[in-house]
Amino acid sequence: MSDLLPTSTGPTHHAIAGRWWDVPSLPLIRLPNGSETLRVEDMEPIYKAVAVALCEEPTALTPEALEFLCDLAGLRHIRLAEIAGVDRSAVTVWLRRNGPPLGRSLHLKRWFLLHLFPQFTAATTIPLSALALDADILRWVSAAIRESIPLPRIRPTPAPLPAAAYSPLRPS
Amino acid sequence: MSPFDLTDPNLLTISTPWVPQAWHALLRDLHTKGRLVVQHEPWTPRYERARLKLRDLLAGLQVLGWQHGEQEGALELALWALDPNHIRRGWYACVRVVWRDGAPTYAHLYCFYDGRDQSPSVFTLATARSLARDGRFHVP
Repeated sequence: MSDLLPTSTGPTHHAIAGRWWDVPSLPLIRLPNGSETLRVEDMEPIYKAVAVALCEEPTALTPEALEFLCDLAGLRHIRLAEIAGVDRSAVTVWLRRNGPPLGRSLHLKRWFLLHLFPQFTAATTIPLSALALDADILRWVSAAIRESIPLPRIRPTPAPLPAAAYSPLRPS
Repeated sequence: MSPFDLTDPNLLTISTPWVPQAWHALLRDLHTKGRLVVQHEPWTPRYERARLKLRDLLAGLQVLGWQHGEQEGALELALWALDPNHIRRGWYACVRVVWRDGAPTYAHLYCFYDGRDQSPSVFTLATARSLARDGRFHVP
């Protein structure tokens, strides 16, 4: 079983939800064919941190970000349509073209945050002052999640040079 | 009748290649134990998506066929699943299961097609089976 033990550390740039992120280095495991890869479970905290970063922004969701959040939350598109109060065909259009409009995006971001961090939301009271606008709620909840749950530090970053593009794996 | 319960992943060996339900159970078991990895070079956004869709892929997959891997002690499986969000979209994937000391140690997803980023669209089971045959898998 030793073949799945970490042998080195990975890159600090990942393309997730259609954007590049600067993330902490993760352990890499070496496969018998000599290549190295990340364990799926090691990526999960990164994904959650990306979800918080995406939901914190008071901007409309891109199609890639919406798909990422749905996959992470295990949300079927038919349920997404119910939550957003739209027809399923609208969801299809959002995912293929420009993403949901700003108002729906903020509403969905709030749902994703509350759904992805139930342990946080069940035990937290949001002050009235943070409830005026969806953007206020998102900002307050995101900050509170970061304070109470240890998430990896990540930040958006420009795409790396072409030689390294889409290659979070070290050459073997 | 096999004396073994072939739905028990721990009883599978590399020489019992064609029991689709058993291989499905093995893949789910390896995933639960954190022993299903996604790796492809060059890395593309499609494989980041594959990582995120593993749960859905494993929930709905059909094992189409098998072949012995290039490396000793490895068996490769061709898989297909319908995208639960799109009736007209399917996923095709190939997984290499690696044995050590007679036990399956991990599975490596090395191919994932979802009809995006220049990958083939695999709407139907028939298309997936044909793709698997083209990939030299034994498809009963």
